[in-house]
Amino acid sequence: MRGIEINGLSKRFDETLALDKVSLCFEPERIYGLLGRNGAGKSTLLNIITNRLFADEGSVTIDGMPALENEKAQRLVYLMSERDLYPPSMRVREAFDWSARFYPDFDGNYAHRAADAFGLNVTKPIKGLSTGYRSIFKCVVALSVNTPYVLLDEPVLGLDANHRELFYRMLIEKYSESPFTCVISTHLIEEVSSVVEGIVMLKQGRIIRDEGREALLASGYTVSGPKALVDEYLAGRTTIGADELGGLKTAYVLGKPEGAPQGLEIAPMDLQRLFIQLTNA
Amino acid sequence: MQLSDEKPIFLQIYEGIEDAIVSGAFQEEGQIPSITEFSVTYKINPATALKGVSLLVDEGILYKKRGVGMFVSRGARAQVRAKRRTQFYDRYVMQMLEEAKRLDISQEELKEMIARGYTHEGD
Amino acid sequence: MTLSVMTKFQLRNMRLSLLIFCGVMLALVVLAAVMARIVPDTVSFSSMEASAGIFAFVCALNSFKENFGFALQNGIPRKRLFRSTLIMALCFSALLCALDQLLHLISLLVSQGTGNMRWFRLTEALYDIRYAGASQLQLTVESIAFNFALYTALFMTGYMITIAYYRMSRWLKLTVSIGVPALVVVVYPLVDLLLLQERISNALGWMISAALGIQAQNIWIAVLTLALLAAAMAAFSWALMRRAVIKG
Repeated sequence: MRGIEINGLSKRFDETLALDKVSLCFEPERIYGLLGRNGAGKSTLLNIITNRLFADEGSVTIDGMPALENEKAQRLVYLMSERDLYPPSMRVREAFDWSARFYPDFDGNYAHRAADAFGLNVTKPIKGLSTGYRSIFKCVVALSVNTPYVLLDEPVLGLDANHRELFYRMLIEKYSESPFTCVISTHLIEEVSSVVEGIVMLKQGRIIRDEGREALLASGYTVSGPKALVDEYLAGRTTIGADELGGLKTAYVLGKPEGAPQGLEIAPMDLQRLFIQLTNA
Repeated sequence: MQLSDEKPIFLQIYEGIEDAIVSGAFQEEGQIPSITEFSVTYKINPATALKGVSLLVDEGILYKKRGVGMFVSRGARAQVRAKRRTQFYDRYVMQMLEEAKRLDISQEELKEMIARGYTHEGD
Repeated sequence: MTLSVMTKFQLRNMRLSLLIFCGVMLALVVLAAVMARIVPDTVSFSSMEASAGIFAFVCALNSFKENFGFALQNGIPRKRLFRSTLIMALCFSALLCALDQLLHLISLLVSQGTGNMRWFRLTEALYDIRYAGASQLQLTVESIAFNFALYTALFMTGYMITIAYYRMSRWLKLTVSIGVPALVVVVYPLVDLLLLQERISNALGWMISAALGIQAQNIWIAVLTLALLAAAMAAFSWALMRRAVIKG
């Protein structure tokens, strides 16, 4: 198993450069968070990996095999995306059966149990499902397909809090019992923060961060206190943003906190805060 | 145990299990929940849970029974308490003294407060 | 012969339309045959194959988008989808040919013999001289070959058109949807009738006639032409499919 290797991938849509020489590797048996603002290129990346879109430059290999128009490689990966590509008139139960025919490791029993747990009616046609349940249906298939690489593009769109929690629990349970590579692309950063191991951040088609969760969180901190003191402290340090309220200032700094004088409070930055500051124009 | 972003998660797991050992929630020679159970309950990556648990295994506080699970070692409670006592000074005493200094509380006032605290405990 | 999962899926989508078509045709034939028994020698059925041909064309017009989406969702690359479509087209045509024969048989049974109801095949109409003195066997065999080629050609043409439409931008679609009918219905008759004294129509008529071997009364020329047409449409379809992406 060599993971999904992406090399120098570029993609242009009319005037916009959606991906700009992106290179990274999704390693075997790790859970990744793929973060980026709307239009940053996350869906484009996932669609190119799964042969739905064509890249202008660069290559993708899955376990060493080229991903482009390659059935053997595509057999190893499953993409759950917002786009509904299932025939609307097909019933959920039928969709499970067809998935089992295309993906030999598909676990039908697990799918039915998961559908039960979510309250998904398997006799309903897909077009009759609400937005939330359509997402749930796709989540269930993604959890049951048992491919070594599972890509989830906004998996919990439209799910209520209870179902979101259930989904994460099921994902973690599955991963714990038989690890696989899972890439979760989402805007709900804090929700996935503790679930993921690796984090890839995209900004305007470029990778700005590609590292482990702990390392990424340790790469920055917040410093707050009276404005003058904070400004003094910030001299010579990399600041990625700041908020001010009256005479108080909170600054977001990259690096390790040291030499902070009295009167200043140092605190860790959470993932969402780090993301927002790094991706603000 | 509530997870926060203040500290690395594996460390919170590590300390959480230690707390449970000290309080007696996890008995010596007793089995503790599996990595899967920890990860699912706290919605964290199993690799992270494993990291926390492995640290405790390395220190001899936990041990692994093949095919069964993780167990609390004999004498773990005493071991953790001894460790915590050593850490007590840095974690609590130093912090208290710094805050006291910030508020201009003298050593005498502080001693008086501590004495008061002990008498109140009896209430 | 085992069909791939994708082929089975594509055929499954045709199931309902095929069933309805069969049902309707069956009902028509049985009705006509019953009438023929009541009032013999007054009923004749001709060129049923035309309906089947139109049906094949229309079915093809509906068989790209959903199958394409489903293929990509399940990791099937475009070339596999294309191959599967070819096989599906052939199966589909074969089924329609079988239906032709079945309907003819039923009409014979229900009307109690050829005396009561005349059944004219399309091929008999086109190649009347050829089949004037020919055996039933020759007629049947050659008709099946002709029909099979015809249905496949029509199916692939419909399929090509539907992929072309899928890949067109909104403006191109508009232009084509208005432009092509305008050209055929308005421009062409005006130019041909008024200016060119029907020279184009005559030339076209002559070309089609020759391509289908009508003058030579050779049905195999038609089979060849139709087979080439099917192949050409298939080639265009592939050219369009290989760079198709999920839209909208």
